[in-house]
Amino acid sequence: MPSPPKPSQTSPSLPVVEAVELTKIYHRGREEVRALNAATFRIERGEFVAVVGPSGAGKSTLLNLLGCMDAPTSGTLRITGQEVQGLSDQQRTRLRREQIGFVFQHFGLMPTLTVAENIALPTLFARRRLAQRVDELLEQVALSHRRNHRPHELSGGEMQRVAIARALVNNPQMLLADEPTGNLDTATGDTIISLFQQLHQAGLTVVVVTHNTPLASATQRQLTLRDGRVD
Amino acid sequence: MAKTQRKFWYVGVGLLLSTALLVQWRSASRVPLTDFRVLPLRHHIEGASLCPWRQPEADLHAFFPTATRYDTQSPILSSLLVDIKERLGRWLTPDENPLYLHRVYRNQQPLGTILVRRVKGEYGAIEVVLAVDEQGKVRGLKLQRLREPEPIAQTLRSPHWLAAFEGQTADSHWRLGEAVPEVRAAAQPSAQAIVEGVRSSLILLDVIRHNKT
Amino acid sequence: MLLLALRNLTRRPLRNALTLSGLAVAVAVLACLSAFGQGYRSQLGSELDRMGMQVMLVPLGCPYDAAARVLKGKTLDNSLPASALTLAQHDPAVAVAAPLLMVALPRPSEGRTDMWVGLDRAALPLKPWWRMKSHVTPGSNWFPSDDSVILGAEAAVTEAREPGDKFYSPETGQTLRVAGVLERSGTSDDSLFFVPLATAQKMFHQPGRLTAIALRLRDPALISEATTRLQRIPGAQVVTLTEMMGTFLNLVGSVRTLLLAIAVLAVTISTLSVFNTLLAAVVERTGEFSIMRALGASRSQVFGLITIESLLLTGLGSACGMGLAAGLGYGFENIVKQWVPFAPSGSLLSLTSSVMLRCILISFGVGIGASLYPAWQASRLHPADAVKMD
Repeated sequence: MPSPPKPSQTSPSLPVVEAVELTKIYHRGREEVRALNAATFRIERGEFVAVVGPSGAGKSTLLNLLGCMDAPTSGTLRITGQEVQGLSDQQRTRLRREQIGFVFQHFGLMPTLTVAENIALPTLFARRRLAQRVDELLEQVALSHRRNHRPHELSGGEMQRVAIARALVNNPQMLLADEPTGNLDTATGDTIISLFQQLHQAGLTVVVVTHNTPLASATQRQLTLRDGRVD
Repeated sequence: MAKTQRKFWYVGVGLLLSTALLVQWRSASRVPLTDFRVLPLRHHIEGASLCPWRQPEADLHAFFPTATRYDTQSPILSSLLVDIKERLGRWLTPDENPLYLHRVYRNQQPLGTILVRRVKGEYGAIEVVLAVDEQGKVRGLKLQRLREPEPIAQTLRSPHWLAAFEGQTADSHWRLGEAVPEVRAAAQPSAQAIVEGVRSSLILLDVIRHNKT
Repeated sequence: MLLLALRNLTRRPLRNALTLSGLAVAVAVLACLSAFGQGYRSQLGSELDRMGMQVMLVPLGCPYDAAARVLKGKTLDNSLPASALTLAQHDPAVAVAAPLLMVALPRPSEGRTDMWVGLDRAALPLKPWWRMKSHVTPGSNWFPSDDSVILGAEAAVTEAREPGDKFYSPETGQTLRVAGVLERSGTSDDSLFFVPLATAQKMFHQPGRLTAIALRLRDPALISEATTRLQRIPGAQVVTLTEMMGTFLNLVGSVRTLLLAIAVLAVTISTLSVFNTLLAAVVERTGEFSIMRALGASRSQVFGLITIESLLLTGLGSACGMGLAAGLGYGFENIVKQWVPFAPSGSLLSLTSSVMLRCILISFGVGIGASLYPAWQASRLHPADAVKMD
């Protein structure tokens, strides 16, 4: 049902994510923590992928790298064909803004803004005015009647739908979701899962990081992380 | 050089002292006093000819001991001028026209009115504070300021003479020797001015009151 | 962005209102003080310009002693010696030397102070604004007899006197006849009683005594050499008007410096309060800023958002402050007038556009200054914190 992004900026043949020997090392005092250890994988355009694995396996680190919120220590990471390492903060911000949509576990809605304003927020940062797109998305997530409500007036499922609409407003290449059903009851979680499936069917690349089995099993493919490695 | 410094020192100390005096006297007398040798005063404005009520607390206590508060009204007389002329037997003078009525209350209950008038005494202004009860009877009279020579001032301020005003109304026979006792010849012009001031004030008040009802 | 900033300000209404009112008071004080300084200087200047003299010769010591001594029937200690007038009149630079005897007789019981000035005909050229509104002898600006008095416009109203009326001085027992009433001049003359010098000296039992000699020079350029010579007259000190003005301005200057220090303190405190409000808001909203960064907000956009919030806060504060200054400025003026020596008759407060502009600029400076650190803090937040927060 939701409209697919328009993958016009990159060649359709290129993978959305291409990671080769991707390594991220953190330093905790003198200790060296290898959060991601030479992970190599690809995510093709239009794929619905779940990143799974036990706690501490490197899921969050991978999410940060895929979301261009952090730079890898070594290895190569290409997002929609563009190499991430070596990009400045400003360039990474632009890549994030234009190519990636984020959905957080705790929704991350601005409490002072209305539903419509929350959805439009990323367009403000991109200096675009897309009033029509906001209306479209409101309709797609079935929240047109809630457009002038504040987040505290919504249910958890509604908040997550707003967050998904917000992630889609800039027409990203990839939707990146961090435990999107983690804060929802099973029934509401199921509606969110089906929303992701619809987006995937409409051609959007969706990557979810999750512990949730029903969500992981609803995806096409699972990337299992263990001790910083992709199995 | 030393002499110049000393001069500045004197001037400085003089100015500081005068400032202190200035502040003290100003607050005590409400009349600006300044080093008028050199500089112009901030002139003291009392409005066109409106006479200030100088000791409201003391007067209230004397005339209306049970009063708890007062407020000040400024009625517009223009529509009443013909009525007033009829009662007064003459037009109001420009001095009489602006009028403040200080209405006195015990909580919400009105007790009376205080009017302050400046009349023309023989030797200077005489400021009359007139207290009138709700029935229009004089409750009391005080001369808050006058600059008549001592024997005249004594006559005018004598309790006997002032007490004669009490209980009088706008319709009393306002002539020396009738409503109020006669005074000796020297005091007559000023006494007459006070009597006329009281009469005109009572008539004004009466006309305003009737007009309201 | 503006909407977002505005919405954020409504988030903590009480805290922001308190910050805003602090800022408003600081701006109002600052505006009033700047306006007051300018107004005082120009009013004092214009009043001094209207004086017909350049130099005063006054006795050594405190002039206010005079009133007290006269009341007690004592002779004046601090009057000028008789020789001073002759010496001053003979000075080559002096065009007019007008002897004056001034006595203030306070009567607190009646809330009155009679201010008597005895003057010589020589004083007339020094009072170019003297116009008789009405008088007994038309065409004359002077006393027709020794027992006549000329009243200032205000004094005539307060005393209900007209030309030809009797006027009595209870303290001295003297009955005078009103020779004329002066036109309103806006100077101290409006409240004074003028009598011939000899009459004043007789009334107050001060024969031959003077409290001041007003001098006009042939050429104002001669002022310094004339001052040097006049300074040598025994028992007298020379005060020039420019010096007088300078002294007043210095005195006012020190009061103003004190008040200005208070204003600077108020502005500093309000800056710190804006700073504190913003910093608290940034700390409170760390998660939101990280999310904004994750959603594609650049560092400069986050920085800008905080700066706009701060400018909105200070802009509103300064608008309220201006309103406060305009509304309560005259009350403030009345308080200040009690403090400063020789409050001129005109309004001391001149809330000109330049004063307002200066205050607005200062408050915007405060806004930007206070927002720098919190905005920098917010812009340094890492987008990955949005995920960690989860």
